Amino acid sequence: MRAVRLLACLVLWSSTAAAEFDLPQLMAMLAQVERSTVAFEETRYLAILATPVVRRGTLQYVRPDRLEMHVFTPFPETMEVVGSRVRIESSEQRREWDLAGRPVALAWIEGIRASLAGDAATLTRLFGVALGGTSASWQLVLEPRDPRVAAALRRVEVRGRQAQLTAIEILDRQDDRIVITFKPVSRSGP
Amino acid sequence: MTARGRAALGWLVVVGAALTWVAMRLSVNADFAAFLPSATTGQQRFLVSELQEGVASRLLLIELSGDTAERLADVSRTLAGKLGADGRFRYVNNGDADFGRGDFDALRAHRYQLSDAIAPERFTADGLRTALAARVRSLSGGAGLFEKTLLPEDPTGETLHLVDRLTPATEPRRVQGAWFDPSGARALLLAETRAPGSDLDGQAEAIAALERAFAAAKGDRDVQLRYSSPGAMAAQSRTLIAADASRLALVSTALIVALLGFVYRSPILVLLCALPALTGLLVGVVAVDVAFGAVHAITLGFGATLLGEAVDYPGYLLTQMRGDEPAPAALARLAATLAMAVLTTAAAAVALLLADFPGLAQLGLLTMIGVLGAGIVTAWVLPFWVPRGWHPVPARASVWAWRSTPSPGARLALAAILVAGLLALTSGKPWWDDDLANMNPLPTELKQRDRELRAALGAPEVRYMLLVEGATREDALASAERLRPALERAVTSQALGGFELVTDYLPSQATQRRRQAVLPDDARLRANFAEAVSGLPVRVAAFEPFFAAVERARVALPVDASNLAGTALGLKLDGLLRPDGARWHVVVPLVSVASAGDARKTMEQAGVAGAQWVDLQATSRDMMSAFRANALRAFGLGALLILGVLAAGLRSARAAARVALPVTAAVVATAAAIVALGQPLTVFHLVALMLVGGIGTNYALFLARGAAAGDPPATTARSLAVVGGTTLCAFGTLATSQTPVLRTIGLTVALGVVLCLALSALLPAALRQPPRPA
Repeated sequence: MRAVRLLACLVLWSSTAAAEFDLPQLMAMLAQVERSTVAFEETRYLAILATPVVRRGTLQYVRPDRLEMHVFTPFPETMEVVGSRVRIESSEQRREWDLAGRPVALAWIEGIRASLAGDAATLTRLFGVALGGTSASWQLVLEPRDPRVAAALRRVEVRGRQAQLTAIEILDRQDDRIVITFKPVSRSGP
Repeated sequence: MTARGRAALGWLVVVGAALTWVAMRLSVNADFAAFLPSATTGQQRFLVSELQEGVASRLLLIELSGDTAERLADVSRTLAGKLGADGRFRYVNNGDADFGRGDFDALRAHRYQLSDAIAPERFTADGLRTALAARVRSLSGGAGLFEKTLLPEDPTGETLHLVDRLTPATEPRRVQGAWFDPSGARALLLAETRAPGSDLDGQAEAIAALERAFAAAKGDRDVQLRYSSPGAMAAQSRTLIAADASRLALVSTALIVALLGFVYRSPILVLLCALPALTGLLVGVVAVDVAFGAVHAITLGFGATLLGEAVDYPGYLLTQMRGDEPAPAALARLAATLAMAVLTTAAAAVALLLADFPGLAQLGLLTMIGVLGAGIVTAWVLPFWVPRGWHPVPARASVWAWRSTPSPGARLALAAILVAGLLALTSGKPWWDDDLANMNPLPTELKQRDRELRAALGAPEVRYMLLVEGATREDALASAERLRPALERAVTSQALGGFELVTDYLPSQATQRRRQAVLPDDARLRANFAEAVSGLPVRVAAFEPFFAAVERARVALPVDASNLAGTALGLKLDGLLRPDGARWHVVVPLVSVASAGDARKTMEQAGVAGAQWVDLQATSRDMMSAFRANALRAFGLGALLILGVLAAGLRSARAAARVALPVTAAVVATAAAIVALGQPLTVFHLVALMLVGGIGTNYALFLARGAAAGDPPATTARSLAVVGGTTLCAFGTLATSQTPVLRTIGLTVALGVVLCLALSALLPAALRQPPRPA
């Protein structure tokens, strides 16, 4: 009787151990990446537009806090985020903001950047974080903690394979949806 | 009851009653308006209130430095939070909330009445197509996403246009959301105190609260705090003056006690010497409070100075007592002269009492009641308290006799050369200076810091502004609207860094109606919109909020102050659109005035009725000069009254002239000496000169009395040396002060006393008729 119970425990333990893929593991994995450049395709499904907007380009991350988005279509544009400063530059205009006073935009950016960085502290500070899947195919569901942010942004879903992000989906309160998918172009490890 | 008992009882009753009044009822105010003529125009009054209560005077510019930008931003955020929760501050901004939620919502709700971009072509099919095409394109860009929330209701972008226009042109740079100076080494904040700039106690409290909040916010970080505002600077300069004054008072008291102790050799008598002047000040203050309902702080300061004369009264009595004589008997000999000394000053004070400025009238009453009180205490209280049998050590002729006695002619020549020489030295030097800023005890670095902070923060100038006056609120607003093109031109030509026009968030009702009239009706708008979207990937159904908003705006009531209540814009509106009696004023703060002349010309060329360029520094200078001119007139009249009292009291015009001439010469010579030293005269000098006149008259009177009564010259000389010496101790100490106000008064009186003594010794003798052979 006792042996049976012990066996049952053992089986149970070994099965959870095999399935377990937790946030610290994922973050540690992501934190290995010093810099990465991927090709992206962003599709914006917006309620006020009859057809989605599709943007293509490259996304570069450089540890600790630099994010560069080079858009090639529909028109060339560069977005650069360093710390809390955002600069958007196209042939027509150049604009610069500080995100410290704009929590919604900041949540937006950190959803992407802190995920790339494997920055658990920032993610859990801004979002309720739920991790699902295995290391071979995981998804993070991020739900804003700040009510002001939650009033505008429903959730951010990040999907990935090992230390690489494959897609990000952002859903806001206007039911506009933005899906960004990534494909590797180059990759350099630590 | 003995005479002594009656005197003591009477004094106790009066002083007790006065002290009770002071404790229960006395109110001291610092309202600058007391120093304006009562016939001042409403506009001048408005300017004064702007000067002391306007937004610029309340705005505290704060700087944090000494640590990394990250830590400074952190402290800045915490500090802003603490100050925001403190009732002493109306408004705090560290850059974090670049546009408050309340402001944004108010602008958004009323955009079709507030936006100056509203024009008929904006709502035609073409106009809408242009707007929509631009939006569609921006939605394909990075920035468009941040703005898309507004699109369904505001496709023409009015809200963002309004926000852009109300965001100051010269915003400080931001690090982590906090304002920084261009170098990035200093975090900047703005805080508006609830207390007006003229409420120095309120300002001091706000500053103390700021320093406490800073200490808590800083923790163990190595951050330094600096701040500046007109109110804070005034409070600081008051603290500096008070600290300096009390330190010097200690020194001068010690000197005076030593001098009197040496002369009288009795502690009781030294104490008694202070009694008349203190009693006089006390009853004088109570009299002013009863008559005017309050005592002005400046009256108190000036009054205490003028009553310096009364400190001499006991000296005249005590130094001239003879060895065998009780004090009351000595008083009987000196009473007539003492009465003249008191009455001449009281007569001069009547002239002040008649002045048109409440401030001067208060000073007159305080002086008059004060010297009368001091005279009465000297005559009817003091003699009974002089210990029986006490008398001063007799003055030794060998010490006090004139070593040489030049002939009357030589004395006259000497006096004339002295006065004429000093007058000659003033040639080419300005006599008057009405810019009180020169009396500011603050170091110039502080003023420089204020300028730097103001420029870095884009905070409005304290000195320059535009004022738009109208018979009604709407008139004032309509005129202010017409100023915008001229102001924009002045910014373009870099005469100005920026400006703040209330009509950007509260246009006149006429303008609002004009904009509403431009909005098409629902059917037309929908038709135009349908035409506009053809060929654009836009879903018309998503824009229902837009159609509804335009339809609402067409019939909306005019936006007024109540629509902005509780927002930062509403707070600003309170300060910038103000009723003044039946009329209304719009204040237009200006930022970084680079060329006042050009900006003023541009504004005046616009020819907007009721608009005028204001230079508060010039205004305050004008007011000071009017005050000074009035004071001067009053002093002139006072001098005539003194002459009258002298002539009546001495029963001889010649004798009166003999007393008045040296004093007049001394006052003129003192003024000339100060001007010759390169310091033009201010109202502070004027008050000090008045004291010199009062003191000098007394010297001349007692000299004349001594000569007429045949007293030994040594007694009179020593008497003058003692009273002159105490005055020199008091004011000579002040003359060493670091603060310009105290130094001014000290130097003037000390110099005046010396000149009075010298000229009193030289002139009357020269004027005396040669004794006829008996």
